[in-house]
Amino acid sequence: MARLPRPTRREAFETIGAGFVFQFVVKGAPGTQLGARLRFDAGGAVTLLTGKVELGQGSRTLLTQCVAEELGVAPGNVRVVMGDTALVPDDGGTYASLTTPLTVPVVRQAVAAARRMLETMTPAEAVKREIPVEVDLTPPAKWKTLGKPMANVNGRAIVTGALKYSTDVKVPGMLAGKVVRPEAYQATLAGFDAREAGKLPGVKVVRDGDFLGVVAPDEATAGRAASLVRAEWRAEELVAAAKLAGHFTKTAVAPVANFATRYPPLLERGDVERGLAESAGRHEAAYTLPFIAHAPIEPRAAVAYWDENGLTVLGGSQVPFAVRGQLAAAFGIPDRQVRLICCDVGTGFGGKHGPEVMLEAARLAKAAGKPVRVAWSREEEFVRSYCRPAAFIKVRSGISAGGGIHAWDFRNYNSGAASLAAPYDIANYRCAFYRASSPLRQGAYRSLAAVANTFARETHVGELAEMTDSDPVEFRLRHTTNARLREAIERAAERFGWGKAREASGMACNIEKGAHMALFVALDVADDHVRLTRMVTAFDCGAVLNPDNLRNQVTGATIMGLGGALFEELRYDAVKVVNNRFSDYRVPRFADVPAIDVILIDRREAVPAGAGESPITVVAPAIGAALHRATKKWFRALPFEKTLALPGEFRE
Amino acid sequence: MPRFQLLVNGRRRTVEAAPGTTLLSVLRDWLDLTGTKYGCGEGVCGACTVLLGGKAVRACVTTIEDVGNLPVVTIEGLARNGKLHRVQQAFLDAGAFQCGYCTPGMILEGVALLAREPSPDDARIKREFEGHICRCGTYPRIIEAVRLASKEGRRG
Repeated sequence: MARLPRPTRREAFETIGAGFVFQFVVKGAPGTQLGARLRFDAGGAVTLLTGKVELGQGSRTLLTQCVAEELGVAPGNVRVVMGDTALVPDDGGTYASLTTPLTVPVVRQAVAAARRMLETMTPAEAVKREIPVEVDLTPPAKWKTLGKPMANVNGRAIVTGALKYSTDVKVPGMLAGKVVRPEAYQATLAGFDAREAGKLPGVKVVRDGDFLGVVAPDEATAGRAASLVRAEWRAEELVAAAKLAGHFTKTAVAPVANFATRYPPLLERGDVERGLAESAGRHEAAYTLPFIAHAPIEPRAAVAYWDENGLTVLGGSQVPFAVRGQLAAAFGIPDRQVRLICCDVGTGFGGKHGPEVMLEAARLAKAAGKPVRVAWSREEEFVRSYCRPAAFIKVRSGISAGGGIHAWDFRNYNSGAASLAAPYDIANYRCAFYRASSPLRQGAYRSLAAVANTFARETHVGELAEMTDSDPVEFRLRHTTNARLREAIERAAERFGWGKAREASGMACNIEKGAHMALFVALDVADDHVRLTRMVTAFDCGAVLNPDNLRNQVTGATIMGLGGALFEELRYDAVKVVNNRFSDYRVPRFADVPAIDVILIDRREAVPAGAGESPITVVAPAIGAALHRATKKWFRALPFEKTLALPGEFRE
Repeated sequence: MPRFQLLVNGRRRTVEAAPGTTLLSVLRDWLDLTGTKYGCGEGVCGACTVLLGGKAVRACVTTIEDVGNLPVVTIEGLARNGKLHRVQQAFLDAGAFQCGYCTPGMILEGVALLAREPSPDDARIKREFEGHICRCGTYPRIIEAVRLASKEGRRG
C-alpha cells in the first residue's frame, strides 16, 4: 500500500475517486448534509461513508444492501468506505450488535433522501442539502435486495488472499518495532541495559516510563534486539483465581438504579426479601465463570507515522473515533491532528476496542522519526490485550406452593449487567450488578455479560424446574407471556424432538438486544469429555435483512460459545498468564462441532435487531442442562470439562 | 547473508535471508505475498498453510532451508488467468467464511486433501482440517465447501 500523505478534505476524497463531498465531520444523525454520508461518482457508482468497521460480522455487505435497496441500484455499483476518521462520519463503535438497529436506519434514511433529491437535482446539488428528518423507507414488502441472501462483498478478495488486513498494511520506509515485555502480567520497569541491542545495525532503543521498545530496519532484527535488552521488572502479585469470588464480593460496589444506561445495573419489582420469606420452597446457588481470551485469529498490528499534520495510524479498531481521541490524549494533541485508517479486521469479538498496539507504534514512530509497524505475536495477543471478565453470581429464589417462581434475587459480581433481567414473570425480583476490582485487564466480549448472566439464570431455572418436578420447557413457558420467546422455544423444541430424544438433552432461552432465542442440545459424556451430538436453535431478531449472513452468524456465535462452555479459561499464576498460545489455550475446532440446525424466525413487521452476538448467550446453560441429564449433577462453574473432573462442588 | 533460490507460484525468486528464516516471513516480508497469514507461530492454527511440493505445510514452522527445490504455492498462485481454482470457487459458493483471515490456509489444505483423496467423507475432512482454527466458527460451511469442490472435481 502506498503511503498516504495527510490529505486536505477535498484531496481525501480524490484518493477514493473523483466525487462530490462537502462536509465531513458529523454525527450520523438527521440535520446533516447528504455529502457527509454519500458520494456520487461520474460513472454512476455511489460510495457510502461510515464509521462502522468490518470484523467478519458482515457490516460491509449489509450496508451495501441498504444503499442498493434505497437507491434502486445494483449492489455492484456500491462502495463502502469504513472507519477512516478523515473521511467518514462518526457512527459510534462497532459493538453491541448496533449496526443493524442504529446504523442501518440512519444509512437507509440518507440514501432514501438522496434518491428523492436526485429526481429533481444533480448529485452536486444534492450532497449540499440536509438530510430530511423524516424520509419514507422502502417497505419490506417491496424489498429487492434487503431481506434476501447476499454474498460477502469481500468474498473474492478473501478467497484470493487479496484482502488487506491490519497485519498486511505496509508503507514505504517503514521500520519494525518490538516492545520489550516483562514476563509478569503487570510490572514496573526498575532498570535496563540495552548496550548489546544497541550494537545491532539500525537499532534504536526507546524508553518512556514503563514502556520499553526497540525499532529496527526489519522484523527479524527488531525481535533479536528486543531479546538482547536486559530489563529488570518489579512484578505485581495477582489475586489467585481460586480467591476471585471472595475478592469480587469484598471489593464490590453496590449499584444504584439508573435507567439512562443501555444495561441498567439494578432492576427491582415487588419485595424480594418478603417474597423469599413467604415462599413455600427456597433455593440458593452460586455460579462462576473464569477469565477467557477473545483470541482473535488476527493478532493486532498497526503502522504509525508522524508528519507536519500530526499522527496517522493504519490498523484495526472496533471504535475508530474513540481510539483517535485516546491517541490524541496520549500525545497531548487535538483530535484533528490524529487520523486513524481502519482496515478490515480478522475478528474482534469485543476485544479490539483499545488503542494498545496503535499507541505502541505511534510512540516508536515518534522516537524514530519514521513510520513504524508493530505486530503482536500470538503470545502478546493473549496476554497484553484484555479479557472477558470473570464472574461470580449468587442467586436466591423462592417457589410458591403452586410451583411458580415467587421471588428472585440475582447478584452478578464483576462481569456486567447485560441480560441481567430474567425474561420471566416473577412478582418479587431484584437483579443487581456489582462492580468489583479485577486482577486482569477486562473489557467487552461478544454479548458482554449476557453470557454469564444467562448461564447463571437459565441453570438456576433448570434447577427450579427439577425441584418442582416440572419439564424445563413447560416450566419456562409457564413463566413467560412473551409471544416471541414462546414461539422460539416451541419451534426449537418441536424440531429437536424434545421429550422424544434418547440422548441426554437440555435447553436454554434468552431475550437479549431485542432478539429472542432458544437452544436445544444433545450430548454424551465419556472419560470427562463432552461430545455434543446435535444442536437446534431458533432465533428471532425481527425482520431478517440478510438470511445467509444471519445463519452464518448464529452458527458461528453458537460454536464460539461452546469453547467458553466446555474448555476455555485464561489461567495465571502468582504473577503471569500461563496459557498464552493456541497449543495451551484450546478453542473450538472441527471435531468439537455437532450438527447445528438453525431456525430463523423472520418477522418482516418487526424492527430488525442486532444478531451477531446474542446466540452465544444460550450455549453454556443449554449444555449444562444436558450435562445434568447425563450425570445427575448440576454444573455451576465454567468451563464444564474442568469441573467434570472435580466432583464435590456439585449440588447434593 | 546467504542467498536462496525459491520457486514460488511458478516464478523463480532469489531471497537473501538469515539462516533459519521462516517461509512465512519470506513470503510476507520479502515477497509481499500477504495472503499467507500469521496466526500462532507454532504450527497449530493453520492460518499460514501453503503447498510445498503439493503438500500442505505450516509456513510459520518451515524454514527457508526446508524449502529446498520444492515448488511453493500460496493463495495468490491458485487462480489461473483470473479463473478461480475449484476450491476457491467452492468457498465462495458456500459462503464458507466471515472475516476470511483463516480462509487462504483452509483453501490450500482443501487443495492438498483433494489431490490425495478426491472424494473424502465428512469424517476425513474433519480429521484433515483439525489443525486449522476458524474463530468465526464457520466450520460447517468449510466442510460443505470441500464437499462442493470434491463434487466439482469428480465432474471434471
